[in-house]
Amino acid sequence: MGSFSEHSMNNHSSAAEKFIHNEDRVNWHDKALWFVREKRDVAASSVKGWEELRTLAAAIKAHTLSHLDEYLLQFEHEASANGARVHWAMNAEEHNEIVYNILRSRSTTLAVKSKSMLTEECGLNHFLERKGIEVVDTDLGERIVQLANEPPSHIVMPAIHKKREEIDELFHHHLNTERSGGNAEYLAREARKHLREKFLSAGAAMTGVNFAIAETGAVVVCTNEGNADMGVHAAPLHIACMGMEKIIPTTEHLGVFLRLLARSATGQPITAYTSFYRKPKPGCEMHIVIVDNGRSEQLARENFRSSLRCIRCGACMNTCPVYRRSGGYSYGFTIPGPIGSILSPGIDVKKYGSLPFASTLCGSCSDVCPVKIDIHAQLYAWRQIISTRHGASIGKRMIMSVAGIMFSHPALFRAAGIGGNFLQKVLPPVLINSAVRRWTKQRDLPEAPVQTFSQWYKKRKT
Amino acid sequence: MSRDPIIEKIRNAKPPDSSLPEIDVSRFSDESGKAETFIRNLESVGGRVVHISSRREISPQIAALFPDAKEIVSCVEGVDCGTIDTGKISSAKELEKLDLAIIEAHFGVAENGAVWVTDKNFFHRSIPFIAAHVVVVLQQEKIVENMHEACARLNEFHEGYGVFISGPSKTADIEQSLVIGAQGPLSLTVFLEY
Ligand code: SF4
Repeated sequence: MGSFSEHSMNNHSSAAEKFIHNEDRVNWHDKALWFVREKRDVAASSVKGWEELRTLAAAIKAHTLSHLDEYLLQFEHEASANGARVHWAMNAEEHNEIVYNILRSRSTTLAVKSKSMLTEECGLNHFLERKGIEVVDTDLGERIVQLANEPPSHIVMPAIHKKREEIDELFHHHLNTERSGGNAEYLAREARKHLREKFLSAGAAMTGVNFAIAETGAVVVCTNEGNADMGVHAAPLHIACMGMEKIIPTTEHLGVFLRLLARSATGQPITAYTSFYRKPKPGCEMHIVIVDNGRSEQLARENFRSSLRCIRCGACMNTCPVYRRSGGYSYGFTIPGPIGSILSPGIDVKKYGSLPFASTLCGSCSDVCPVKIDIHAQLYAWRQIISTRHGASIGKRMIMSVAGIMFSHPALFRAAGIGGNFLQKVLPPVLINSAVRRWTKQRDLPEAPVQTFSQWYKKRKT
Repeated sequence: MSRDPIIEKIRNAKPPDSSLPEIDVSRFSDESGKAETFIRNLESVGGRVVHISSRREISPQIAALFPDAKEIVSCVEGVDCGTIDTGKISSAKELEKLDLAIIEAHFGVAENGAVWVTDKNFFHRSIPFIAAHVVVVLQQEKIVENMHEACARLNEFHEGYGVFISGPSKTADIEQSLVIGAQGPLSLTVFLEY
């Protein structure tokens, strides 16, 4: 590790500044995500034994990680016996080369792709485009951000940061739709027509993988839009790309995860489609690419390996007061929010060193996580590593920046009801005052929270 | 081929054995009526239920519910309201204008209103997705309580492809407004047979 300064990294707080500049948008973003969080709560409380399910899910994943090599080899054996071709990629470059070579072998010029955070992580779209292959993302949210030339800002709701009027403009420009003032039904219908043309003319369909079952060699993909299946069944070639931690031992174990995933993600009892791809359809090819790309390094880190249990439900983002206020782009990493903030320093601690500080350590992420990752404890552990190596002053300055995000909007601050908890844990008053000054700029200082804090602080001293 | 180096790295990195837990399914059973729960959940995800007591009722019901459907495929034995020659179809492209598909489900799941269908239930895997409207025929006695029971049954199926379908396709990607009918069907109706 070389020298470390705030300049050498993507600074979360300065990236957030762009987003929090627009108070209405922050307010709206915060509410939209909190609404999803509340739906999750209703869904979770309707299931008998929810906490037991979370415990089971955590234990199944912990077991699988402790035998990861065996399960991956078993999976490869079964999938090959089913007629799929299995490939292994050490890193993003190898993954992209493998996919490209498969596509080239069938002279593919157009590929459709359903949601896959892994291919985002590997930068696959741009790689293939440079090689002359058109890639069309077929999840509506992903198509929206693709047309806007942006990455997803959330792992389950990729366009959660976009207003309907912006989508209206984007579609008018790229798909020649009428201006509708942002009529969601009209825009979704137009996208449906546009994407159906692509599904029926694509030479290949790529998908992510939610779960890979070692026992049967099946890959399981969950969507609401039906876009993975529309692509895979129409094209002669299916390429499924998976991070190696997606493996689970048997179909019986899958039941536990399927009960947790959609409820944690959006409050639905299950996604509209849960598709089991086991054998290619007659006359067609199915390929599965298993990717490491830093996962085995994370597996070796005792304090952080449980982050590999993640099933990418997004619940920790929806509940995070910092994510809701600062937006997905402020993290500068493919996976934003609390889970991204414990995965990214393992990839590049210099670049992502500010992310573990982009948290109030309120613990809400760990409370909702369906696989019981102790996210806030890992955030704290990364902070200690970063502060020990590079001086406590960096940590302090970054904590102050988070305070700025929290204080940038007094209404949100009050609504979140986390002030006391947050302040008691992390902030001396001098930092709060200077953070508030730094972040509120032309805005008036939010009276209420500061007073509340001062009262609290006085009481505490006496 | 990076398989061996990856496996080697995992062997050096992985933690000591952590035991695989037993799943005691009885702890998750809540004894609510399976059919009512199925219906309630299916309706909550945008699906519709039609009760029938005999398969003979299916064709007339379909004529009444989908009066404008021209291209219809029936993959259910004894339901002969199909209008296109399925023997000739070999690609999804030929199904592009499909108005309605009728398929049979192996079983349903009460806790989420899902039905399980596989390669055995259709002659082309695109059928449950490309049709504008989908009708699924399900025997009421074949509803299981939850995904534990459902997944325990899946190894009876050795088909190359299977899917749990819970309601019609949907999206909320535009400002979280729910739109029924995304890239797949615009509606899903389950004909529940007593
Ligand atoms: S860390 Fe947990 S809550 Fe966050 S996305 Fe992963 S599984 Fe979901």
